[in-house]
Amino acid sequence: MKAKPRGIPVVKKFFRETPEGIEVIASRCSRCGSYFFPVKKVCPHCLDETMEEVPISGKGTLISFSVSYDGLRGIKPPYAFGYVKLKEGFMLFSLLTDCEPFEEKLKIGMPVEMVIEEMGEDFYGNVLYTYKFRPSEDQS
Amino acid sequence: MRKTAVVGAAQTPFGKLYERDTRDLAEEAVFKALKDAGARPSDIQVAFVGSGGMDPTTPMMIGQIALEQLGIKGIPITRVENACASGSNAFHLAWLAVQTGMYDVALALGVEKMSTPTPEQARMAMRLGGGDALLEGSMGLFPPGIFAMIAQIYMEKYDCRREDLAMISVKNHKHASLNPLAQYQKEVTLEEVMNSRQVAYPLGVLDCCPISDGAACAIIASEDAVKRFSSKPVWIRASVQVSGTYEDLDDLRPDTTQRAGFQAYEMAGVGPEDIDLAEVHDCFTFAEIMHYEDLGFCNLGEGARYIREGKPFLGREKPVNTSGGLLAKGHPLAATGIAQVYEIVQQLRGQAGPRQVEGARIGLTHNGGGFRHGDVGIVTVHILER
Ligand SMILES: [Zn+2]
Repeated sequence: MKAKPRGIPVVKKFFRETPEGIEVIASRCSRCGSYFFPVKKVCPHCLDETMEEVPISGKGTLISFSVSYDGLRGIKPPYAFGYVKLKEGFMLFSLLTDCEPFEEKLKIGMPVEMVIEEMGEDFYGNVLYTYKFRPSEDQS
Repeated sequence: MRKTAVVGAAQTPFGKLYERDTRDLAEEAVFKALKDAGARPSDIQVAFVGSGGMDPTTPMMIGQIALEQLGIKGIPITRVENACASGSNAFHLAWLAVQTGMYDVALALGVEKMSTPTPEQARMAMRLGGGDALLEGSMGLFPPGIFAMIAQIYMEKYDCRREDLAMISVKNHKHASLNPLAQYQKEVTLEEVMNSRQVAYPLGVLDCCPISDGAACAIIASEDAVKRFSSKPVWIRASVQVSGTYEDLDDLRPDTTQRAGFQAYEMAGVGPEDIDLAEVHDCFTFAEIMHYEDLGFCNLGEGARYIREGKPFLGREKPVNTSGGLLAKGHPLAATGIAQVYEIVQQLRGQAGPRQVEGARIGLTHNGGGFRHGDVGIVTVHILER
């Protein structure tokens, strides 16, 4: 999944720029196949610098979710968030989008897909972007 | 293992104490603990000071500064920061210091000032810093959110209703109404909790612990040193600290408390059935339901029934959070773990007044801290016996 968002990344190491746009990346150990997010250098299982940078598939299922009624700088309440289990097999925390009304649209175990979207501004007024997940039709 | 005991314990009032600062909260707790033990400052050989540093003016070497006020100086003093478990972790290290045989008398202090500059700023600091800030905090996760997500799965899987969560808050506020040091000494009704302002679905504001200021202190001595003090010793049968494993969990059920509890029972040579009362980490109502199961007070999936049947109420089978817990006594982060010890010590000495658990012989404390990747960062469990 690639996107051309406005602004700067909320955390630089979550993303990679390619000619076609921005993508979210993880580390995969080329020896044991374990995934790590965010990217890192050493695999704790193999205890070696065996990591390769790979784009995240962006497809997964929603493990659980909640809705915050308190805001956070740059995130207006109410907003939904959850843990997602990616197709690659690892778990990730994320904001959820395109999911109102929450009580109808969000279900534990539902398929979700990743998008890159704006997430407010930083202290200096820069527009931030981040990854989020939204309900998906794709059952695969 | 060396036999060790708590010989002194004290707690300041908890609450939004706008007129007080870190120093005078620490001064009061240490002074009262020394008095309680009948100890002199020169009796203390080593000290560990829990501080989450929530107040931006909390200085480096807060331990040195806090203890010098009572003339405790020259000895090794170390600050301990482990999120909401900082205090119990300081207590664990004080115990460990005596266990090694290097020291005979150790002091543990926990102090936290959260209401300055404003309670709102503390809330924001907790949002970002309560866990893995880079990966989760800055991305919108905050402490009630993690327990809300765990609760959502649990409530789908097991027999647990919204009113079961609310009943935890009702119980702990009822207990706190009997505790003159508690932040909220007023009972709340089931309806008030269920209709309280939403924070993180399904948790309302009365399902969440408040922003609090306070301090607590305990003095620990080896068996040989116990006779130097005038108080009645309360023996430490187990002291355990574990960290999270941060595995990918499809059911979002952290096993940190289970592991710490199991190790503590093994160390003490007792089981859950031997525990007369417990202070557990009820940062949010749902957490307490989960901890009944994790600590073996009931089976997996039966936590909601346990509160529904009233078993953890004062005067019933196994009173939990007789102090009012984090929910109603208050939760000044680093003070909490030692305040739990203070409550159990009062109970085992028979000094708990209107909230006394009759005939209490063995008590347990459980303190958690931080969150990351669906797991709790730190858990400590202590088992005390009179
Ligand atoms: Zn590997």
